[in-house]
Amino acid sequence: MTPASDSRRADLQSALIRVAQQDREALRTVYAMTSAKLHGVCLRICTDRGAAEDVLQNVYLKVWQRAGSFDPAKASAIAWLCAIARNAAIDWRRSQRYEDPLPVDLAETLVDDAADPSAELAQSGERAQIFACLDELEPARAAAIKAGFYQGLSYPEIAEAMEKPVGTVKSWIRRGLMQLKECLSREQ
Amino acid sequence: MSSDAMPERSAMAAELALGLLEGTERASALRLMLSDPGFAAEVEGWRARLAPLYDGFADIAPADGLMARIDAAIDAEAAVAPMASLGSPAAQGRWKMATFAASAVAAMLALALVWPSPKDKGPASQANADVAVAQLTGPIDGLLLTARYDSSTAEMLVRVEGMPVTETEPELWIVPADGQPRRLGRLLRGGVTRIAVPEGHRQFIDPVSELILTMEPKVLPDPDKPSAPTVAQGRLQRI
Repeated sequence: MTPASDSRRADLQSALIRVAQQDREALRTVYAMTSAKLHGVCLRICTDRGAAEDVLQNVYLKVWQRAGSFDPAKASAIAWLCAIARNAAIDWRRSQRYEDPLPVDLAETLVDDAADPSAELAQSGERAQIFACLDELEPARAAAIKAGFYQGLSYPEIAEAMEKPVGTVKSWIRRGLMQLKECLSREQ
Repeated sequence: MSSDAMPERSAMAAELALGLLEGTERASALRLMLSDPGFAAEVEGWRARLAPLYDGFADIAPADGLMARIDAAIDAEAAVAPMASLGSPAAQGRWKMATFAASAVAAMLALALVWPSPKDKGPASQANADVAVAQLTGPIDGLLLTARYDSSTAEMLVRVEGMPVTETEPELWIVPADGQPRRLGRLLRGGVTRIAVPEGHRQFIDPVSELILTMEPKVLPDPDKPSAPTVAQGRLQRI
């Protein structure tokens, strides 16, 4: 974390708190600081530009309506915003009943692995840690977890995309998450 | 070393945070979050653990003009705030019942209930403003549009409910007595869209004219006529 990124995170948090007071200018600030990231979340999960922008528009409407429930003690502003975007995109995706889920290996091509850990809104030093922990997992377990997180796929969709039984995928993910939890607590 | 077995409840907390659960499993996990603080804390723990993964999403700027759409959507929601201020469950129930009754009379009653009347709109509106409303329905189950035109502002507010997700975009037209559709504009897929009715089209706001909705390609092939069949229609009625 650099002092500049600390100050940017503080700016975002204070803008979000002002949004809760129905400050439209603050919403524009939040939008300017986060729309590319949240659009990245929506586009990744929706995989359709038009749908992603519709979802994103609704995300900022929700932000406008729900900013009062943001609690800086529980989550960083960017994590709170990303969670709203991810949930909204997953809801949209599930409403579509995709017949052909994306192949999971596509996940790798779409994840921004080059994202700079010191990027201005990067959340904390934990970033490197969780990515390092994912790297420790068996590749299939890590791929299944990433497909759930980054593509918003459900168990049956991941199973279909990886051409494995649902039970196998479930077991991979549960064991992978267990390892992830242990890894994160070990290195803290 | 990791142990292979994860207690069922902890697994469910992690799966909920990761977004893997669907349907009844998701519903029961959400119920458990409300009733069991220990489980809720586990879910929160997982959300916090996974949150750094958000850094892995790429930054991709959305199209220019999206903030303007958001502003318009917020303004449109604010414009119908009196609906929320009606407040009581009874009033909301009346609105629901009325919107599901597909008659123009029901639409008029519902709109009279939920939209602000011109005299409530403050000094900016003219006392003799005319207000016309329409309810648009069609073959798509659950799709319902309610439109309200106020002559004092020349604005039409259109509320869209139950729009299915499609590759195409909802486009609103007015078809006067001559049968030639005139374009009013593109609608948001949900919530309220505010349309400034072009001066040349205002003369067509009458009980003979019909509002129609077509689902058009993102780039409209011809702004002067619909390229797709009508999916919802309704006639304007003065109130």
